Amino acid sequence: MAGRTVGRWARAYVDGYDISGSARNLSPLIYTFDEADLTALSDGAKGRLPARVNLGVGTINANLDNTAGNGAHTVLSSAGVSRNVMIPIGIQAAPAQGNPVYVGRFQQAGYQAAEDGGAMTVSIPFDDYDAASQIRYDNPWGALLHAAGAETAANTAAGVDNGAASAFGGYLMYQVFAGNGTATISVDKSTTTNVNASFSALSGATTGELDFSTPQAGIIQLANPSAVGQFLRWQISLNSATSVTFALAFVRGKY
Amino acid sequence: MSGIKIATVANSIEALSISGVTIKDIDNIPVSATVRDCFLIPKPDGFVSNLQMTPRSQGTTAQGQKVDVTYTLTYMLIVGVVGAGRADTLDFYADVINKAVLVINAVQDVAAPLSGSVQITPSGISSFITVTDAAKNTHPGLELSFDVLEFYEV
Repeated sequence: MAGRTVGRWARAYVDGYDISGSARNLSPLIYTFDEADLTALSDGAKGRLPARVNLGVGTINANLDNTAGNGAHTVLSSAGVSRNVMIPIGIQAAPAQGNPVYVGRFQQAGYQAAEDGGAMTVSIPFDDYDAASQIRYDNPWGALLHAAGAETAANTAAGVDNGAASAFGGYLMYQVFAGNGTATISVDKSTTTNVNASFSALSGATTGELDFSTPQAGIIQLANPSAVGQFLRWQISLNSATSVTFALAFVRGKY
Repeated sequence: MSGIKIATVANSIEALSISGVTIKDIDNIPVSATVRDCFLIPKPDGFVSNLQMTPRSQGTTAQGQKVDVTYTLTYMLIVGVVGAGRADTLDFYADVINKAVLVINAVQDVAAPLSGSVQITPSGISSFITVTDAAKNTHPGLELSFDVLEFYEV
């Protein structure tokens, strides 16, 4: 579906936990450029060029919720650590394949509880990107390849159409919420048509075999430049696991 | 197709499955009911209220202008017949309350927006009312209201 949407269809996934049931609202999802003033003496007007990009999820406001597994207090009460954050935004419905998604790994700068209208709420500020992680790309917006859900077999369906191929690599973020063993999550690409027979593995876009028995999340970055086909889809190879519940996003490099 | 989709929303509400409640649309409101009936019907004199249309962008509909449409739909929940039970008790009281809760939960718990709408939220419940049908039966019940948000351009 294309068009406008409302905030209730956004979701918040952090380190393999779906905190959407606790999160009340999301601060602006930050994507801004510092600008360098390059105005010269003979210029008629001031001139700037975009410099370094700022990314972040601002402050997540949530209910103080100690529900085992997905409560905001259970998942995020420890600050001073970096976390993989995925914000998929459903278009007039719950997030689905192809919907916009904001991803990144950010420092959780705090966890502050306060009363708000009688309810105990928490403000969870996030800082800039985690400097300890490789930061090869400056674009946080991508496409949701797999909406949160369980898979028990390999993918043979169509994928997401980007409209054109790209040449500047990109990165994937996986958020695994549950599983019962080892598996490999990856991204397939097609450069021709959006049908099963045309897809093959996107080189480097794989988690490798991991034990998905516990919630986890991560980012896999591709080389830049590298070719990424017009069509992308999720893929899973089950080993000891028979079911894995996950969300998967892919962000294309822009330059 | 762009436009206000009240009929589509009412049709979607009629399609909900609620145990013990028969939901009617704007084109099949019954004129009478028996002691065993429980109907949720559009309130004939006041089904749509609080209509507001808020432009969210420039231009015309043909140019893709975005317009929020909000309104309130009011339904009447009527249960049984007054006087049909034990003479010394309000034995219909619990049934009305329980059925109202089922209706509110059914609307609140929809996993995807009801067709025609972007968002629909239970917003009000009246005190007890009575409705007299064409057969002179008096039915107890109450009114339930739902706030609807549509995108005109969808």
